Amino acid sequence: MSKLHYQIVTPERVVQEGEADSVSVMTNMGEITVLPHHVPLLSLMKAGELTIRNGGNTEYFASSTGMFEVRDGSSIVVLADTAERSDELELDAITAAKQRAEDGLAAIKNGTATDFADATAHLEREMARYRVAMKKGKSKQHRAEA
Amino acid sequence: MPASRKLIQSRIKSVKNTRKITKAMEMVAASKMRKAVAATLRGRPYVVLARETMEAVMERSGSALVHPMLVAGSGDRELVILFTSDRGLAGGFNVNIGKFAREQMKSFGDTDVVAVGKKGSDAMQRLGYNVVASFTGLGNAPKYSEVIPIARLAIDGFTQGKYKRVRLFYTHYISGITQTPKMLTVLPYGEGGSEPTARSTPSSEYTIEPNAKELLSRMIPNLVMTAFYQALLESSASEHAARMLAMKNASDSARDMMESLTFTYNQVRQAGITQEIAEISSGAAALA
Repeated sequence: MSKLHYQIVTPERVVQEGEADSVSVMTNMGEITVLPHHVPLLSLMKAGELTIRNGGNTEYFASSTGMFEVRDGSSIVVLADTAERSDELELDAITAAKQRAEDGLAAIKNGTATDFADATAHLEREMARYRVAMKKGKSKQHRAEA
Repeated sequence: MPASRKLIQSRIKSVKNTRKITKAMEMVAASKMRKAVAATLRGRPYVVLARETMEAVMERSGSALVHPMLVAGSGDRELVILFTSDRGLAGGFNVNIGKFAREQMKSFGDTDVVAVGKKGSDAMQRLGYNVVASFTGLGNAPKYSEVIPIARLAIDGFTQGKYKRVRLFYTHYISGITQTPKMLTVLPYGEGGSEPTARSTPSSEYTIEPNAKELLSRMIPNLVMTAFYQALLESSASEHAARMLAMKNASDSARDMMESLTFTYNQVRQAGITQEIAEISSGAAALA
């Protein structure tokens, strides 16, 4: 079976690249899953989870806004502002950051539209990181039980 | 001449101490430079991929595509972002980029300056330029999130019709011994004259979601921010390289100075001994 080549890059670094069976991304129009031989596609990305499945392995990433491109059907490029693999995330730190983002949002409800948009984007990113970090916590438990 | 001997000795000691400091600064700068260069290289894949994507959108949309960020702004002012360092003792680093920027700015009309780095901010203010903002303390390992406010300022100024163009002045890092001042036009996008990337995609069957215009509205600011980020990294790498070289030269001349002082010291010491012996032997001769 043919595989997808994926690259997840941010302005600061190349987060990860490799081969996969499928890649799921959160776009502005909902979550989509890209399989090999997908039509070339260019789309904007929302802050959210990014899932990469390869064989029996599933890897989760928390990504913020950005864009992604499917090239030539079997190569996918994710250009995110920030992206982290689940094992890079620290649940405690994220819970605190999420709380701060929520507080910040509440505090500037009466502020300007830009402030509000910034804070919302911030919260969305922290929520995505939180969800991915939770998943990682779960998979660790599974491993412990097994 | 015991007094002069003491004088030379204290001089040697002071030069030695200075050399210790310059040597330490040289090594610190070398390690910071390595980090900054590594960060610059890590950031390059994003720039290349994002530009390829950008080209795909432009090609796909052809000449039908009109976007406010692709044409010169309606404003009559120019915006210049000048990247310098916060600290001195970096040889000609800040002087060179400042001189280059001022030379280029002569041909601009009314210009606002945003200074990144304390040195540039101080110098431009002293010279009477209109410094609208200055950012300091971005330090050695700048994060992408740290350049967003700077880029936001420029992008907003451009889209609100205040500025005609936005240009970056920074020091391009070529190698440990060569860095050159560079000017880059970031807005309107595409005027910078970046060479096309080598990529061949049959773009006819591209699906673009939600549409090309919205995508560009997201992508161009992103690319502009990345350009800011890269300029900051390049400038930081150049700063440390320049400082390393300046400190190496200082350490070298301190060593030369120490050598010549030690030589003089030995001469004076030997002259003293010779004189003492001459006195003793002439005293003995007088007694005999």
